[in-house]
Amino acid sequence: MVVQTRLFGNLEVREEEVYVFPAGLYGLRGLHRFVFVAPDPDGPMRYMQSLDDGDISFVVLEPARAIPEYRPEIPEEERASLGLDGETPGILLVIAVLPEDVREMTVNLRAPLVLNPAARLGKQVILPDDRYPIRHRLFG
Amino acid sequence: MLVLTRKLDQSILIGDDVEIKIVQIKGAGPNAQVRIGVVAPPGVTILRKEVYEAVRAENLRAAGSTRPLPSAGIFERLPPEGAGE
Repeated sequence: MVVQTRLFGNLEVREEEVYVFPAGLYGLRGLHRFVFVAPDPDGPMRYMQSLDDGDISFVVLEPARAIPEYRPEIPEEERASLGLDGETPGILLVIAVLPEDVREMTVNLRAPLVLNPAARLGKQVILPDDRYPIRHRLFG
Repeated sequence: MLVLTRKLDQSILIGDDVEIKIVQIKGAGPNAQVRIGVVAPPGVTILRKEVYEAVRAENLRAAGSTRPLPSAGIFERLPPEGAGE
């Protein structure tokens, strides 16, 4: 399918690339289908493009590579709701905010995205642990 | 909004499986604090409303900030901490 997007123009998307977020995202509950676009396959950043609203996209990061010390415990029932278990660890991503000066970039460590790549399912999880900030500065 | 009066250790039930209990009452007046215990089935998300609202606002801020990245290799190209422009 071809999806018209603000960021990428007409974006060619294969059905098997689509991730479904049954609950949407906080504040954007109506958006359920997303696709991830990697500007640089070797880098930690991805664009997360909504297929339901071509104007909406996010910059997301794989914290395993950008913030290695960030290893939050995802509540077991959240993992189970995505079909994740010991054998299917899943993928963790954090959503970034890009201010004018990119060095001021922050990521939301309190509400990461958890993905099951095999089932193409995703969910935004608000962690119960208060120590994870919603605005974590990435660069110092 | 339904408003109920409860005493310490009293509960209210929401449906069959959500229980909200007054665990502690501290102080009086506008600075009074109430500790509340919640029993709910796994999978029911329980959050302080401020956290929920903050995450919601941050998602909208993030969506509004998306733009083409200056370069794909931004992590490699940013000056090290304290190096300045």
